[in-house]
Amino acid sequence: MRWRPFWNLVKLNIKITFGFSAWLYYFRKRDRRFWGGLGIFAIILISIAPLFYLYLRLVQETTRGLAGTGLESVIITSGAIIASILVLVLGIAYVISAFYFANDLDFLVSLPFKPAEILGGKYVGVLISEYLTIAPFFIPPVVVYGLNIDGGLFYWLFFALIFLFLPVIPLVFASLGVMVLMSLTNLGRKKDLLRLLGMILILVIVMVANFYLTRLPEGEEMEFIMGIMEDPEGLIAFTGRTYPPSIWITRALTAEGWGSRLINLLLFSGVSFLGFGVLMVGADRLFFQGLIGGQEISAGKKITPGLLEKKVRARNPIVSIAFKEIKILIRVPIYLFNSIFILIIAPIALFFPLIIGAGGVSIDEYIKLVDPELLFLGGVGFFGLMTLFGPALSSSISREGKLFRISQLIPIPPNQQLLGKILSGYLVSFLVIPIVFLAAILYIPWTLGEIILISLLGLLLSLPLMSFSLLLDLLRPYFTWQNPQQAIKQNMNVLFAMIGGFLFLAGLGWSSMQLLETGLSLGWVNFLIGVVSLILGGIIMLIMFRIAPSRYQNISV
Amino acid sequence: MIKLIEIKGLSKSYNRGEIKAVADLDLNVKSGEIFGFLGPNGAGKTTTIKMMVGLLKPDKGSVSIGGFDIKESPIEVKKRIGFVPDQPEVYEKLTGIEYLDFMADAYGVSREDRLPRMEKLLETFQMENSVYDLIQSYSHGMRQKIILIGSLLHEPEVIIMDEPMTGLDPRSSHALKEMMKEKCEEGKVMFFSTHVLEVAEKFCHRVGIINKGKLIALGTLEELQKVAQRRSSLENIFLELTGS
Repeated sequence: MRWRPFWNLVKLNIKITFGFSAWLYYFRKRDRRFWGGLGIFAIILISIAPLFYLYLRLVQETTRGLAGTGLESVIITSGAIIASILVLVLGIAYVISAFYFANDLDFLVSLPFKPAEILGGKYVGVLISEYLTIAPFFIPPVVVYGLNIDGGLFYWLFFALIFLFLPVIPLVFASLGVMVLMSLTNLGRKKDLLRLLGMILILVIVMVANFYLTRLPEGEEMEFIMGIMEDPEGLIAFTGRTYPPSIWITRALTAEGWGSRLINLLLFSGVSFLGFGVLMVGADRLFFQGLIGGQEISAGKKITPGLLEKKVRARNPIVSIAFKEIKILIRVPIYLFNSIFILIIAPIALFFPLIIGAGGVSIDEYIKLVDPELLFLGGVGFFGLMTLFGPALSSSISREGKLFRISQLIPIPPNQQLLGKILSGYLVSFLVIPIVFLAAILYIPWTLGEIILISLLGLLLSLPLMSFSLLLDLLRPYFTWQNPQQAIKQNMNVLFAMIGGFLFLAGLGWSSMQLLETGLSLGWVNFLIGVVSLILGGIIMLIMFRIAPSRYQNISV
Repeated sequence: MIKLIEIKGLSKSYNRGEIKAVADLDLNVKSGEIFGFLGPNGAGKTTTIKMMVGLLKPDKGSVSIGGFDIKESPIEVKKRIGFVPDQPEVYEKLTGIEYLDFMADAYGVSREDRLPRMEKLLETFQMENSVYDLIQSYSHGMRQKIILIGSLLHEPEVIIMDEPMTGLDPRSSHALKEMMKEKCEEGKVMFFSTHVLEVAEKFCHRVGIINKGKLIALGTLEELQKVAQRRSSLENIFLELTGS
């Protein structure tokens, strides 16, 4: 790998990923979009501030609780592990999108760059994005610990270096896994499906490995826990089993004596450099194998009049829009993963510790402890939460990108197009019903009537969530993405829709519990949830329909 | 004259060989030549070009540019070519000048060399006034021009263009044609695909016609006229040979 071209590509990726050039340009031109960008940044900070504050308090309390036991340094290990696992898990989809589906790849491949240089440039772009992901999880424990022990200059210097290196290793693993997957699956027309299955397989392997690494010895759980609690090093070593570099990180910040700290820092940074080197060597061998496969074309079968009759179907424009949305969602692997498969992965990830019986308590025992009425409301809330997790609607207009021109040109009124999009959101939401069914069969003693009622209420609850998401995307669509992942992950509408929806669900949940406490029956509470959802959804849709015609006319792609 | 482009037995098929996009293509283009690559939609023009610039791996055969094989020495080949794709897709969030600077960096053009070249090309294609604007504000033709300028900054030996005239205004189109003549006088190769047969007829020293992945005609206009029954314009020859 040559450093100069690599550095040029890094600069390019930073400019286009974070839009620095555009920001500077808007500033020079005194364009109001400069302030718009700053405003959004401020809104994000304000939106996540309460959650961040709660997390900070939790870290502080945990550290206080552990103070004096000698075990408080384990919060750094935990922070490093959480951050690293996040980088690994979220990084898989991000890396696949940036390395293999970015718009500029054809262009870059035709330039005199080596595969490792192109991939290296993209890797650094993703790496910088990951700092934003890890910051809220890693900075608080280290800062709280540092303030408690009165860290000194070197502590903060080491922390800064560790922070810079923290996402390198997990992202190298994600990149290598993705590169191997893409080169092995570059096999003709079914490659997208194979790649999606591969992505899910990698995630399952990560989860299963995590489970086995953190499992307590069966039958001797208490003895084991007592054993590691007696020795701070033992607890760090046990916690760090999931991700051994987190042990070096902890020791680099907390070990007795600077010599030992320096050795651990060198070990961690050395392995990070080594990992990057391995990635570059792998990239030169594997990157183009998975990338240059050619755009496969269909078999070119001659369509007979009979077959044509079967294939061609006239549909209502709204249904037609909904079907178009679903087809694109399914056919672009990144969209399929983020919008549909997340509905399968998210519940598993959410309830994984319960499902595997972590902490020695099985999920059945947990469920027995919960009031059946709350469990029912939890089912409805879960439905709403799943609607929030899938960004199908909050990025629906943005995902069209430059092709939004077509939506502006076709003679389907914007309101009908938006209804089609909401319908597509509902088609995705229907996938939550089998999950609720499965939960009922496996763990929760819901009757068929309850499952139907939960599903109906869940679908009603989805209406304000979906229409709010779509309204946000209509108000400020993001069209200038470079790869499909950016259309979702760098789309602030997705984040705002999640925050807004979460606040609505939390408010509704809290109000429902208050009403139950006053003695109102569950039936009435359900009725009120349905009515509130319907009214709120209706109001948002009316606003959307009011502004849609002018938005469709005025949006410039 | 030196063969700057040498294509031997180039083949590419899809669907496990069911569709032959390009079949056993042999082609040489010498220095100082303007070569027009013609064919109906889906004939294999873009597939061939993609294999020439390293965007697609051939199933069989070889492509050599300036004596370097694309498979063995891809970087050496890419250094010698300037490529203008059919779709003017480019970094929207960069300004024109930032894009050109990046291209100059990519090809290792020194600051001393890039400045006069940029000035000349920007003036030729009338982009001086918009080069500091974000590319997202450019029209289709302006994007086409900024890509074209970017591909010429390193003064490549071989310029490969896929439908370069699409979207260009008459003045820019004229400028491009003049530039093509100038470059070929310098001994460089212009290889371009086009549907504008009039351009091919007037400017190309030789043309190749590809249909269903096979090169069905190759030569100067006079040579092609001898092959076709209706010995008239390139349009008639094209229609006759491609069975349109």
